[in-house]
This record gives sequence, C-alpha cells and structure tokens, in this order.
Amino acid sequence: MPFAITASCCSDAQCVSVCPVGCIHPAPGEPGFGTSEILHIDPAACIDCGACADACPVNAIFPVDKLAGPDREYAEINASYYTDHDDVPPGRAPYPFVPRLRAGLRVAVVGTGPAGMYTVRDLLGRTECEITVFDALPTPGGLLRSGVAPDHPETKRIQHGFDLALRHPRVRFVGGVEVGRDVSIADLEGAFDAVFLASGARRPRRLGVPGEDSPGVVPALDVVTWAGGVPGRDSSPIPELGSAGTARAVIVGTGNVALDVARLLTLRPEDLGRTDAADRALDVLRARPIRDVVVLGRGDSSRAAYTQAEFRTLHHVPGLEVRVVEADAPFVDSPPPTETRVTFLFGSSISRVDGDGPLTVHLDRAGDGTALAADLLVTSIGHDVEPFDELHHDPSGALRHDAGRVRPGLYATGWLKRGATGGIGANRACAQESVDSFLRDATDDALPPRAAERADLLARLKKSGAVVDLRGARAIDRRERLDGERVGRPRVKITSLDELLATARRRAPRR
Amino acid sequence: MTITDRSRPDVGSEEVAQRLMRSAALKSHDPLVEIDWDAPLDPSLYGFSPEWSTLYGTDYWNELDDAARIDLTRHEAASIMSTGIWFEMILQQMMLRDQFLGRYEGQEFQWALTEIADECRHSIMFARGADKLVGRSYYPRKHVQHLSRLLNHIGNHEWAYGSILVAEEILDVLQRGCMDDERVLPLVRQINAIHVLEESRHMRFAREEMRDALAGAGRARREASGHLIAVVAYFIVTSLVSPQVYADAGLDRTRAKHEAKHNGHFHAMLRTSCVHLMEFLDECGLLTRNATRIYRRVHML
Repeated sequence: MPFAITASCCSDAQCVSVCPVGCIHPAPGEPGFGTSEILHIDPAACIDCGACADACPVNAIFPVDKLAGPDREYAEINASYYTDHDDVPPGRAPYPFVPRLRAGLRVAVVGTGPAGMYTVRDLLGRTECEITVFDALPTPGGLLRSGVAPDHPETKRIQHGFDLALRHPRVRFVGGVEVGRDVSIADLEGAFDAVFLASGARRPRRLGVPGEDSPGVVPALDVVTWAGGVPGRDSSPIPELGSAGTARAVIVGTGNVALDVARLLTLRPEDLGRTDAADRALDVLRARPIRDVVVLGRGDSSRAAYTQAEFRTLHHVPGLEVRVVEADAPFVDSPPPTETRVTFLFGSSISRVDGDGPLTVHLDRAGDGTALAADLLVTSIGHDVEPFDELHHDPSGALRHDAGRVRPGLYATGWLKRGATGGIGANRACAQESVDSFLRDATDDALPPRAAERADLLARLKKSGAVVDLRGARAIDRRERLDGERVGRPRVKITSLDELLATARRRAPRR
Repeated sequence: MTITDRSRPDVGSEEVAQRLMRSAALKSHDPLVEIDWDAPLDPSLYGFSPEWSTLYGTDYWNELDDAARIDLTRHEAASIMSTGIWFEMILQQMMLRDQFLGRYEGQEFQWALTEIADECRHSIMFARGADKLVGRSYYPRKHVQHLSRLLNHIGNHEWAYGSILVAEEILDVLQRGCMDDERVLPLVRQINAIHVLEESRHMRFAREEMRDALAGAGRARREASGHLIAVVAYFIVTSLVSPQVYADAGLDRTRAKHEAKHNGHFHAMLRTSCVHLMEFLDECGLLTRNATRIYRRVHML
C-alpha cells in the first residue's frame, strides 16, 4: 500500500531528498517542477518506507489506506500523474557547490518569511558564515505567519524547521527593524560581507477602474493581514452596513488568495474560532456579515488561477454552496443562499465601481453589462514589489538582478526577486540560486570590503528602537501558544505592537 | 476547514511494524546472490563520489592525480563499510536484547527480527565489499571499541534507537549520492542502493520507537538521552574514516589527517545532509544545548 501526497504539499521537495527509490516527481530539475501544483508518489515504485511522510514539513503525506475525507481523492491524483507522464527521468541531483571561503564572513538576511529562511538554511549548510536576520516585525515568519489562511494550519508547520534554523548558534535574529525606515541598505552593505534581501512584494496591484478608491474596496492583502494578526491593522475591512447591507462580497481574481478570502468570509464561526485567526477578525466575522461571495475571473474557467487542490478544498467547507458560471453562460442573480455561497463568475471584467454604503459593481460580460450590489469589493490580482529608494527597479517595481545578484555583495531572493508568484516551496530553489551567486562572488574575491562594524550597527539599532531578539520572539510565541491551549486553539495572536514588545521584554527566566 | 474525518499516519510500533513487514515482502534484496562479486573492478572508477572524500577540496586533494584519488576513495569506502558492520552489530545486539522473551505474535517482534536479519546480510555485504575493494577492513580506536561494548549491554529505549537512527542516517547520507553516480564502481553503487533501500525501513522504525519511548518523558530524561545520543553520534562520525586509510592509500598520514579535520567541504556535505535528522531530534526534544554543542563539533549541525 503506497503513500500519497495531499493538498497541503508545499513543493519544496524535502521528501524527494529522503526517498530511497526516487519515486517522487516532478523532482527539482525535472520538467514540471515549479509549475506542478503538488508532488506525486509513484504507487508502482513506492516501497512504503514512510521516509517522505516523516520528512514532509507540512504533514501532507499519508499511507493510501489511511487517507480520509477530502484527502481520499489524492490516491488517484498521485497515481494518474504517472499514467499521464511517461517521460519521468530518474536523474540524480548534482552535489551542491561548496567552495572554500575565507573565515569570518558575516551575512545579513532581510526578511524571515520562507524566502529569507531557505536562504538562512542554505547558508548554514554550505558555509560557516555568521548570519544576522532582520525582520520588520518582532515575530519571525513573514507571510507564513500572517498570510497562510487560518484554516490551513498544516501549512504553517514548516515554520518548525525555520525556527530551528533561527536557533542555530551562528544565527542572530533582530526583529523590529525595517530596512528603509530604521536602517539603509548601504548601512547593511557596509557592516556585512553580503546582504540578502528577502522582503517580499506587498504593493497590491490596482484595478485601474473608476471608483476603486471608495471605502468598501480593499486589496486582499488587507483582509489577509487583518485576519492574520499583523500589528497596525485593527480596523475591519468589512463595512458595517447593518440592515442596509447586501451580505455580499465581490472578489476580483481567481488565485488561491482569492479563495482564501472567500473561505475566511464564509467559514462557520465555530470553525473559524478554532483557528489562529486574530481575535479582532473573529469578533467581526462571528456575526457573519458576508454570506454570499462572487469571485470574478476574466477568462473562462480553464484559465482560472487557483490550484485544483484549493478549488477542491472549497467543496468541503460545511454549509458552503459552490456555483460556477462559465464565461459563455448567463448570470442570473439568484436569491440569497441557504447558508453561504461562493459563485465563480467567469468571463467578467469590472468597468467601474459606484456607491457609498453598498457598492454597485459594474461588470462587462460577453459584451453585455451587468451590475452587482455588494458590501465589499476585494481585489486579488497580484502584488508588485515596493521599490527601495536605493535600488534600481523597473516601472512595475521588479528588481533588476542576475541570478539573484543585484550587485556583488547584494542579493535578492523570494518574491522580491521573482515577482509575487509561486508558493512556499518555490523559494527553496530560488534561495539556492542566489546563494550560488554569492558563493561565486566570494570565491572570485568580488565582495566589497566591509567599512563598518556589525556590532556598532546593531548597538545603534538597539538604542534607537524597539528591537526584539530571539529570546523575546520565543517568549511571544510561547505566550501565544499557551493562550491558545487554554481555549483549544493553536495560538491566540497578539496584535498590539506594544503588547508584543512588552511580552518580548518580560521573557521567561533562563533555564 | 472542519475535517471530522482526518487522514492520519501510522502511529505506534505495531502499526509501523506491520507496514514495514509488508514493505519488506514487497522489495528486499539478497546481496549474496544479487551482486556479482566476481566481476573485475574497473580501475578508472572511484570507491565513492569524490565530493564525499574527506580530502575533497583540500590542498592535498588538489595535488593528487586521479589514480591516487581513486585509491583513496576505495579505502575510505572500505572504512565506512567497516564502521557500518561495527555499528550494525551493536544494533543487532541491542534489538535482540530488547526483543528477548518478547511478544512473539506481535508485529513489532517480527519486524525487529526482520531488521536484525537485514543487518546480518548487510554486514556480510560490507565485509565482502571492503575485502574486494582493498583487501582489508578497519576498526575504531581501542577506547571507542570498549565504549561500544558498553553500549551493547546497556543501550535501551530512545538511547538505543536514537543511536541506531543517527548511525543509519549518517551512513545513508554518505551512500545516497553515490548510488546514481556513474563515476563510482558498480559494486559500491549496488551495495549502497541495497543498503539505502532497506535502511529506510529501519530508520522509520527507529523514529517510531523513539517517539513511543519519549511520549510523556520529562525534561531531565530528554536532557540525558539527548546528550547520550549526541555522544554516540560523535564516536560514529569520528570513526568513519580511520586514519590508517591515508597510510594504506599511500598518503602522508599526518598531513592527510590534519587536512581532513579542517576540510570545510566535508563539513558542509555532512551538515547539509543531516538537516532532517536534526529536525527530527528537535521534534523529540533531544536537541538540547549540550547535544547541540556536540553535533556542531562533528559538523552535523
């Protein structure tokens, strides 16, 4: 009885590296790796040893005879990959490039989301460098902490491996420091032999239609970070319209983030209440202000941006009716749903948004116009990089780089480098590429000399601001988990910056 | 999402043992008949991937010609196989003790004996392999031999299985890359492939036994076991390649030993390969401060 990989697969291929028979595909380097939604175990070759299941950072792998509920379909999904692809090469991954470097190298990594943390892990493995990791927030994790949907707790488990890297004796965590605001890239380049920027891409793309700046039109990132607990986002993005409201939200975009928002708005309060969603969001969503979600996609359903795994997940949300209106089908605005409903309206593009209080969203469909009344319009059409003043960006915000090298000594990784595409696992190979560029520069003696002392820089930062070290971050983590344990939740997030800092300072006594 | 009906992994040694028994029935090897022991060794092929040589990347390595490098890796491979035998025999003794007068009808008992049988065949395979490669085998230093006799007699629960896991993981990482490396002798590639495949089941079992043994264990116990397992890891890693290997390969033993000890490349190869082991130990609460210090010293962390 073989094993099978299920929906929460993050595609970082750690399973591939432990499989004794090479039965997991597509593997790194093979066609399809990076675009395939999940990885697949070949049931004909699997020997049932379970090494992949133990190594999987998100607990996505189970024996086929132990699959239950929505996961059962994955037995077939894994198997059919191999009937659909007969060109699966056995190949061997090349040994990593490990050059001899001089001693005492100091590297800075900016950002502790997956991009930054895969970079840290690669550097820890292939070099003896001392690594200082910065994050704007007191809590590490980036989008892994605040952006992964609350009802996908398994995905967040990958943070354990990243936490272990943060605890490595050669790594120092400096939280509460934002590049641009608290320290410049030039400062970092001066104090470190190399700097890796992994700060992501968080400028939401705009629709470019009239009315998109009205209240009631919000980017998906605002909804996600509000429910994800990011400090400073206390106000609810959902307008309080009471009886004047329509209980409907329109979401523009069909990616996984759009589906995350759809589920957030329509999950039953008791189910959402068992997750790590921020209390400020639970308080609002408990009243179920939104029951009807319409997701707009421009093309037809074959061009939808969501992964099949996430689309399937939608069908397993209790009480949620899922409706798909194809691009060429007429849309009839039906009566309100029994409980909750999500309707995919393909072939639609927004022409303008009117109104105050309930919005009127004007659509173009198959050449005709329609209008939808909604309380909330969420734009989920992707993100661009927030440009750094000190660097060269394209007009879209994209950073100019060559295999991750911005210039010798300065590297980029993650969404900052690739643009805002790709899931968690995509960052692993991306980080390796950028680290390769750094290693080549280091061996070619191309790294600019350090001009300042790291200790001085860190001392300056500590004096001027609210810096949190790893002990403080762990104190926050401990407190959140303990608070969660008391009420049967994975954690209760602290969302006030003051409280985060106070918890960090009030840390537990040394063992 | 609410999933009242959740997928779950195998839990507990009985469930895991049952699956592993089926896996063993599905695919097992008999190295005595499957490997062509009489085939001549192609003189242009290495005993191990060069990248895994303890001297790869050092100044000394850069001075050696291909023939010298090939000879070195063959001796290193023989030494690693010898270390494998030494450890597998400790393992067999610990498991035999553990299962003596055990629950014969249980899956755990039957799997444990299957594993012991595997290890017997692996030991014979390694013994023949080392003999064929370089005509001799290697042993750990005397004081380490004595300590290992102690472990034979008193290793128990998570200390036993933790030691087993560490030993197997280290061997696994060394052998895995070579399996598909065309520069390596087919004999070694076959030996490694058989070992990696069958060992994967042993490691699964060891992990489950450790989880079982540590369920509900307090901090003092995790500290003690974590430290002990790290000490065992220390002795395994430092016994992998006997310094005698360098002399037998015609090298300056003192210089080779020194350069191997400071070989950043080998350290990096070990570190990158031990990531999963370290994460598992952390999951079990065994990556204590003392343990971390030791793992760093042998470049597993």
